[in-house]
Amino acid sequence: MIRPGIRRILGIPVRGRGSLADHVDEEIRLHLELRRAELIERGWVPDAAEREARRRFGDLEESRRVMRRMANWRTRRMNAREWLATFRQDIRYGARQLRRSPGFAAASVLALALGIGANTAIFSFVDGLLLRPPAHVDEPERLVRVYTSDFSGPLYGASSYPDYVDFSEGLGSAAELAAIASAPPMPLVTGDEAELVAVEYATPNYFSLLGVDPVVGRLFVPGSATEWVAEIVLGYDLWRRSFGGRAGVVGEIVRVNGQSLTVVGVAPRGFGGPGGREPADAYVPIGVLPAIRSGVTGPLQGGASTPAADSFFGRRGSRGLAIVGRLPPGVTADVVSSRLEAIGAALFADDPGAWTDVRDSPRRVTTIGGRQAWLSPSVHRSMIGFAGVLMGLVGLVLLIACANVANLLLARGTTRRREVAVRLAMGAGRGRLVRQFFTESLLLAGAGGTIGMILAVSVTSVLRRVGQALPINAAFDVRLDLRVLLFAVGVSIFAGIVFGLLPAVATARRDAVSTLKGEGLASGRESSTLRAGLVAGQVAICVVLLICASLLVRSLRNAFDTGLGFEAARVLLVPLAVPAPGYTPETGQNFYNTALERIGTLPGVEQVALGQQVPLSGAYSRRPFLPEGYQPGPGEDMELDFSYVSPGYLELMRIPVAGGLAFDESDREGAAPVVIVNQAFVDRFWPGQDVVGRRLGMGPTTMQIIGVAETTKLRALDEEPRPNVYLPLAQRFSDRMTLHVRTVGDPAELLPSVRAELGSIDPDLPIAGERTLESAIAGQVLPLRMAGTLFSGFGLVALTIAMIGLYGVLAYSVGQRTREIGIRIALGATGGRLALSIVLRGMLLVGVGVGLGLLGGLVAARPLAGLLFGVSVTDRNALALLIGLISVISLLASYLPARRATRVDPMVAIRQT
Amino acid sequence: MAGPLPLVKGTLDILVLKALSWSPMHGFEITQWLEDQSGGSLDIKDSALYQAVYRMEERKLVKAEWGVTENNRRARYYHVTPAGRTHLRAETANFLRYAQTVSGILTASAAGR
Repeated sequence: MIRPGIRRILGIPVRGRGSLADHVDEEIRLHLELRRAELIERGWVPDAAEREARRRFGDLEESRRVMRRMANWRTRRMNAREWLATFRQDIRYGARQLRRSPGFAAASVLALALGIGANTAIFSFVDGLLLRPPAHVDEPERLVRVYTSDFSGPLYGASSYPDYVDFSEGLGSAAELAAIASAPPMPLVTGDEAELVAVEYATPNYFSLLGVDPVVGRLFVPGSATEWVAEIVLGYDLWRRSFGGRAGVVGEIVRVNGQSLTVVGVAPRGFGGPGGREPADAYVPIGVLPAIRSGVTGPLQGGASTPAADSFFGRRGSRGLAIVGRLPPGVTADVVSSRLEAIGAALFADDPGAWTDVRDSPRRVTTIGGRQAWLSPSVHRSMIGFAGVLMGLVGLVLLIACANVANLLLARGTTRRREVAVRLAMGAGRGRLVRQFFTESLLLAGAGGTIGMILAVSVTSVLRRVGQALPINAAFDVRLDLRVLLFAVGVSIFAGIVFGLLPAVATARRDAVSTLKGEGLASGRESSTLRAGLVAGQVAICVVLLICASLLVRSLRNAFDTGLGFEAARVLLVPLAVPAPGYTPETGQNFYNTALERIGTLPGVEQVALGQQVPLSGAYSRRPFLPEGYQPGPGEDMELDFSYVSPGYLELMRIPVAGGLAFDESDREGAAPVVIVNQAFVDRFWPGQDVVGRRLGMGPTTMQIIGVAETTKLRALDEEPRPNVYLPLAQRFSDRMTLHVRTVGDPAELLPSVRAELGSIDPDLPIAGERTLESAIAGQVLPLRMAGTLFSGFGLVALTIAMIGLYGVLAYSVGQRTREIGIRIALGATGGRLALSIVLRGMLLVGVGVGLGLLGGLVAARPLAGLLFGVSVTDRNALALLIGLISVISLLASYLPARRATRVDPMVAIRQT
Repeated sequence: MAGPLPLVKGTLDILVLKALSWSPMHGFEITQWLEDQSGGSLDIKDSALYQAVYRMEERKLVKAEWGVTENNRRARYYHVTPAGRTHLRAETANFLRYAQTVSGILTASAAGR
């Protein structure tokens, strides 16, 4: 009899078959028979003996029931123990097997670690980006966001205060709404320290609607939004940074743009609004906004009826509010959505002027609920695409890793033929063997997953930096927590199943008898087809990845080649907040002039200028213009991008001005209004004509065009040429300019002296947000660059793995066919012909893979189209280059095993058993 | 001779363990052993005995394995586990002390009359 432990090792069933009920019945039956036999022996007649045996036994049915129940419990426990014991056994056995082939183990674990690690890292990134609910917000799944479509068309526009009031009142108890407005950074003065802070202006119910609790003090008390409440709630970071995290800050007075406000509390750490990703430095009641904006100190005389307050609280055209709502229990976002649409329709009927967009159609109200309310819709859409591409990418890499490990397992399975055969012969079930191999796969997956997690942790810190550079105003965090951990475990198990199942089944299915007889060579054919298929599959995935990579890389190059339209290197940007108290347009202009003059003389400064908008930085402003004599079509959008610039700006940006003049010192206030347009403007309104000297209307002003600048990229790399208007700063003061300094060397090095110079002109002027032009446009360039880098990197890693797989398959088949090759050589086959046949086999696999990959690549490149710029998905040159590259590498991978085949010594090979 | 004695509660387990302490037995062998030892003076239903055995198997005092009888029939053979032996020793000592005490009291009061 074979002991259970040994049976377990060999995978032979430990217990006989038959159900528990049978066992209990058998025991009772035996007892009754033995009793009856005993009684008959003592002289009872058979019938009486039978009855007596039953009588002595007692209640048969009851006993049977009790015994079965107890037997049942026991068996269940035993099964669990048995299963665990087997599992432990398999793990130990598997570990021993892996130790015996360290090369195989290392290769598999490494491939898996790369695959799982990449997936975990990217998942944690995507999780932080899209899936994490906003911090400190109560029941975030019940939030909704409300957008009114913009005049210029986009659906997700801001709303005006009267709109907000009408929405709120119209909804009544169906949902509570709060609104928040942001304004450009304002100087915040505490004592004699000044700094620029991003302030958000909230309706008083904002915090209570979100369900936020303060760290210190209190937040706003719900009440009338238009009321003058001179309070400020500090953001956590500002509180720590500038107030030392003192709890005593409550009750202190700070001044925002000259307005005295009492600090009432501090928002919790990491609070970033309903999306959780828009942290502000401070929050101020919205009733104070008009006064702060206009720079008036104290409550505006006459309250809401003053022009400034009236324009904000009274005009429907004055948009700038983001609206967030909370659904009461039982109310769905759909209900609120249809109510708001009805309100919007009513408002249009009431005041068609304010509720009509430039395309002459009514503005629409859009309500977004659920998870999508946690990110702004435009960001959400582009990020989902981006995240989807990333997840798909790492998924493919994992797939390649799995295919590769499956291949290695299959090869090893062939060498384990004898072991399998012996165990089958001894009575091990095939299911049992599959389980054994499967456990080994899970062991590999576990090791790969563990190392993958370690890789992910290190990669995550890199991703965190990338995340901060993305073009969204986001303070999301990438971190490894329980969700991510669960994901990694899930991915590992999934990988284990993917790469383990096929080889396990293939290995266990081998025919025991023929293997033991030594006929195993023939039985490897099926698995070698499988392995060939896996290699072709890997090549196919590589081709997909590399197609995407080449598209992205060339797209990036195109974006730069066709030109930003300006030169981004060596430019320092310093935003100036001249609306600081005490500045009038005259003193402001003087400040600008002094600053330009003084900074221009600093050593290391090549040029200095002022520009209002920084191209490709994500910010822009637009307003209606009318070229003289131009007849706008019905609903034609006449709002154009514009920017105030100082003389020298275009030159500094290296934007050539054709057919005219740049601005100069003579273009000042009082002189004839002049303007420079770009080529795209000309192409749109006066195509092919000389426009210098023509006139352009802007509100009541009419300006003369004095020059045509080359078209630059304004908002996105992939935009169509976009008309732009440059206005001379000297003719019309603007309080929000950015100092542009083109430097001789590293712009960052010049920052201290620029700061010092500005400080010497006005010590109270807060300076914040300085950066280089290159980093300002990084947001536009980065996703493309990052995607290109990731695809190239992953594509090359994948190619390497696939080529190792190809080499492995061919080398293995050469090894397996040593004898056959020896015989062929002995029969006169030349080495060259043999090598050729092997190389051809390799190239056939690659060919199939490339073919599949090309088909897959065309499909996979579709979602990338949004990222692409000036590149056709089916670019023949690129594809040819790619195929060439793969062919060369796979030739090499096939040649090495082929060369080995030609060196087979026929004598040695034939003697080999 | 008086009729068979009903079993005092809790004693069946000790008796079964005692039986098995000699050698592994199947169910019927245990009943036979008990009948032999008591001369048939104990009234034990077979069903009660089997339930006791199963209960003790559950408590890991005995362990069962399939074996073959002299007549080549498959039967479950029970043997005492180390825990069973400890249990048997402790319970035997308890029972003896109990029986001694009770019989001491009963005989003493009879003498005092």
